[in-house]
Amino acid sequence: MQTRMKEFRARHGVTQADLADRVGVRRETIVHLEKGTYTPSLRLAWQIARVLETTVDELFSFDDEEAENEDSS
Amino acid sequence: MTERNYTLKNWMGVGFIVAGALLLLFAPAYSMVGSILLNVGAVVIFMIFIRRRWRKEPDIQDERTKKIGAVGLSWSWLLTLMLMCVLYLLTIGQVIDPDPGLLLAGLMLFLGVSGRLFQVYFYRKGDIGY
Repeated sequence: MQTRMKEFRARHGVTQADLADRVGVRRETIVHLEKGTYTPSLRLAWQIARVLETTVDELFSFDDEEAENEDSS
Repeated sequence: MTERNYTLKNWMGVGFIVAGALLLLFAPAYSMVGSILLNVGAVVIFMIFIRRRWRKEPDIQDERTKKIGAVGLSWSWLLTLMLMCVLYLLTIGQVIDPDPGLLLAGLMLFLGVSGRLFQVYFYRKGDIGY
C-alpha cells in the first residue's frame, strides 16, 4: 500500500499526534499508516481523508500485484 | 490501556499472588505451582507499575491494537493446542510422565507469554499481514 498522508499532513500543518487525536487512534497507528505497513479500515481511511480535506482515492493506492496477493490470501 | 484496565490487571496480579500463597500454605504438594503463581502475580504487578509510570501518551485502543490483540491471542491458542497435542502423544507413549498441576500451570504460563509475544511481534510489524 502506498500513501500520500505525509504530504497532505504537511500541506495542512497537522502533526501525527494531532491527526491521531482527531481520528481517535494511537500515534503509532498513524506512523505505520505512513510507512505503508498498516492497511486501514475503510472507516479510518475515510476519517483521515476528511480531516486532511481530500478523498480516500487521493490518499491511498495499491499496486496491482499487491492487491492480487491480498485477494488470493 | 485505561486506568480501569490497569486496576483490573493489578487485581489479577493480586489474585495470582493470593492463589500462590494459599497453595504454598495449604497444599505443600503443589509448592512448585504455588511458586509459579506467586512469581506471575509479582511480574504482572511490576509490569503494570512500569507502564503506568513511564507511559508517554494515552494508551488507547484503536482498530489496529484490537485487531493485533485478537489475532495474537488466536495464534497463541493454536500454538498451545499444538503443544497440548504433542504433550498428550508423549504422555500416552509413556515418554514423559508430567505432574498434572505443574503441567496445567506451565500451559497457563505458555498461553499468556506466547500471546504477548505474538502481539509484540505484530505491533512491531505494524499489521497482521502475511
